[in-house]
Amino acid sequence: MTSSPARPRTGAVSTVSVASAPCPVVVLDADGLIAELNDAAGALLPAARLGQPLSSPAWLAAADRTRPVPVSGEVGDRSFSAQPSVLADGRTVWWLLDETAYRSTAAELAAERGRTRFLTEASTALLASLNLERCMEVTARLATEHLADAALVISPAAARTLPVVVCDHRRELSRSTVSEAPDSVPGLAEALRGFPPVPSRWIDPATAPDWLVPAGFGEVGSLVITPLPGLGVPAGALVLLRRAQQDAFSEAEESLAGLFAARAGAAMSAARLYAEQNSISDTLMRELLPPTLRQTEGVEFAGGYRASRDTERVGGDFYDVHPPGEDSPETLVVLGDVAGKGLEAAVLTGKIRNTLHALLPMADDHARMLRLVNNAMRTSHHTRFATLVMASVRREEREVALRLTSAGHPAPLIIRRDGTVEEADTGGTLIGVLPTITSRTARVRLAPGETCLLFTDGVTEARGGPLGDTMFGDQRLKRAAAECAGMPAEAVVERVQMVTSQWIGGGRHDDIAVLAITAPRGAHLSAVDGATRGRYTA
Amino acid sequence: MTPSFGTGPHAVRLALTGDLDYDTCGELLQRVRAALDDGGGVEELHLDCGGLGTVDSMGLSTLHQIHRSAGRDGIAFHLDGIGPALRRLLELTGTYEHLTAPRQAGLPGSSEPPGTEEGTAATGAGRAAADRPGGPRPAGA
Repeated sequence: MTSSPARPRTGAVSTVSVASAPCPVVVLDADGLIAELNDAAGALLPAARLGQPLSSPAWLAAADRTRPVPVSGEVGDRSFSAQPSVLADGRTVWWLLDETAYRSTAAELAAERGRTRFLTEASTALLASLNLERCMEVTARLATEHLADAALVISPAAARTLPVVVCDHRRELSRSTVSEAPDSVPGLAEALRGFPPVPSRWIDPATAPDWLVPAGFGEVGSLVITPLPGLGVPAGALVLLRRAQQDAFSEAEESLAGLFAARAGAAMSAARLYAEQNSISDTLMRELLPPTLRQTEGVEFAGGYRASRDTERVGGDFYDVHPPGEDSPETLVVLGDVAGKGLEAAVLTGKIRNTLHALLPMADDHARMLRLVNNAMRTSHHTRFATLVMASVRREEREVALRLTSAGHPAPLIIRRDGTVEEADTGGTLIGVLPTITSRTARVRLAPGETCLLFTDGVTEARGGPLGDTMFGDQRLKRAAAECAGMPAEAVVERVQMVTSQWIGGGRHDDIAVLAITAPRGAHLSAVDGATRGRYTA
Repeated sequence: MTPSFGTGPHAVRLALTGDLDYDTCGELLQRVRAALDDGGGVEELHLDCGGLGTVDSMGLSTLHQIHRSAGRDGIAFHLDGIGPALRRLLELTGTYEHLTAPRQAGLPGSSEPPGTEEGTAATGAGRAAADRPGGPRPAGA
C-alpha cells in the first residue's frame, strides 16, 4: 500500500511506504479497524492485530476518526504524539512520534523555572528584613513550604545553647533554645561551623534526637542537614525533615536546598552583621546618655539635641558639661561636631571627648588645651576633624563670668537682657588636621537673665522654610535668640529647637545640638549640685 | 559634583561644580588621585572652586586630604575661584591660610604627624620643627 501525502505537483510522484517509515505507523480504516501496521508499530503495540480494532493506547483508540487532529499520550514509559493524515478512501494514517526526550526536557524546564521562581521569591522574602530572628523564621517557613514537611533553622551560638526556629508540618512557627551540644547530631557541628563547607548530611532518622523532630510529626522518613554558608561567618544550619510516606530527597531537590541555603545564609549573616553594628553603636551611645543639665554652682545649664534621622549617622554632635573638680575651679562646657558619619565619627567623637576630659586640669588655658587635643587627634591616616567651642564658667557675685574659645566652630551667641544678640569674639582652627593651630579666647560676663547660646551648624544649616530648601542661617537664629531675652536656660533651648523644627518641617536634617548657659535671675545662690556630670553625644 | 579636567605640561586643573559633601567627596578624591597618577611629573594642582555649591564638613576634610597628599608629593596646591561661602567656611574653621598659602613646587613639605596613630602629645616646639617645609625630617623625629 502506498499513500501520497499532498504535496506540490512537480510531475514526479514520490511515494512513502508505511513499512519504510522512520517511525511507528498505524493505518486505521473508517470503522477503526487496523488496516496496516509497520514493524516499528508492531514492536511498540504488541497487542495490535490487523483487522482488529485498536484497543491500546486508549488515547489513540479514542481519537476522532471523522476529522482527526493530532493527539498525544503515553505508551508504556514513553510519550508519543500521533499525527494523522487522511487518505482518499477514508482511512487514517497515524504517524507516531516519540516525544519522550522533548517532554522530559519540557518538564525539567518547568521544574527549573519553578525552582528559580522559588529562589527569587526566597531572596525577596529574605532580603525584606535585617532582623536575624525574622530571617530565621522566613527561612524555616519557605523551606517547609517548598522543600520539606518540616524545617528547623539552627543558628550558631557562642553559648552552650542553640537558638532554633522550627516550622512544623502544620506550617506553625516556634522559637526555642536547645541546650544540646551540636555534636549530638551527626553533621550538625560541622554544618554550624560553616567552614570549610560540608555537603548536606544524610542522617539515619532513627538516630535523630527528639528535639529535632516537631511534636506530632509522625515517623521521619528522611532527614538532611545543610549548612547555611554566611558571608565569611557561619550563619547556621538548615534541617529538613520528610515524613516516612514521602519520597526521599532527590538529587535536584538537594541541590535546590543547597542553593536556597546559600541565600538564606547570606541574608542571615547580613542580619547578624547589622545587629552587631547596631549593638556597637548602641554601646557607644549608651556611654553618652543625654544629660539632665541643671543648675550647678549657681549657673543654669540646659542642652537640647535632635538627632539626624539619617540612620547611618552615629557620632556627629556632642556636648559635655564638666563640673568643677579639685584641679579645675570652673565648670567646663564643651560642644562640638565631628566631620563624617557612622562608626568612624563615633570613634573620633569618643576620642576627643575622653582627651578633653583627661585635660580638664588645664582648662585654665584654653589655647594650650586645644593644642594638646589637636596633637592627640592628628593622624596620618585621614583628615577628619572636629570643630568645638569650650566655655569655662564661673559664678561671680550675681554675674556669670565666661571664657569662650571656638576651634573652627560657629561663635556662641550672647543674649542680653534688652534683647540684643552678640556673637562672642572668638575664633580658631579646627581640631585634628593642621600641625599648628591658633585660637582666640573671648571673655564675656552675663548679668542675671542673660544667656550664652552654644550651637552646632545643624541649626544654621537646617534646610526648610516655605521653599523647602532655604538655609535657616545666622540671621534667623539671631532673631530667634533675641526673642529669648530674659528666659531661663531650659526655655531658651526649647524655643530655639522649636523654631528650627518648624523651619525644617518634614525635611532631612543633620544633627542639631544647642546648649544654653544662663545667669539665674534669682537673687540668691541656688543649691550647689556638683555631683552630676552630663555627657551626651549623637 | 563633577570635576572637569584641563592638564598642562606640569599642571593639573580640575573645575569643581555642584556640592562637595559626604556623598560626593569620595569621587573627588579618586579623580584627583587618578589625575595625579596619570600625569607623571605634575608640579601644580589647581582646584577651581568657582562652580562649587555647598561644602560640608566631609567636603572640607577632603580638601585637606588632597592638600596633604599634594604637599607630601611636592606638588603645589591651589584653590582658585574661592566664592564667599567657601571663604566663610575656611575662615570659620581657621584653615584659609593653610589651604591657600603658596608652597614652592618641588619641595616636599612635610606637614605630617608621625606615622603612629597614637601621636603623643609632643611639645609644640618639636612639632613645629618637623612641620617646617624643607626636606625630610631628621631621623628619629
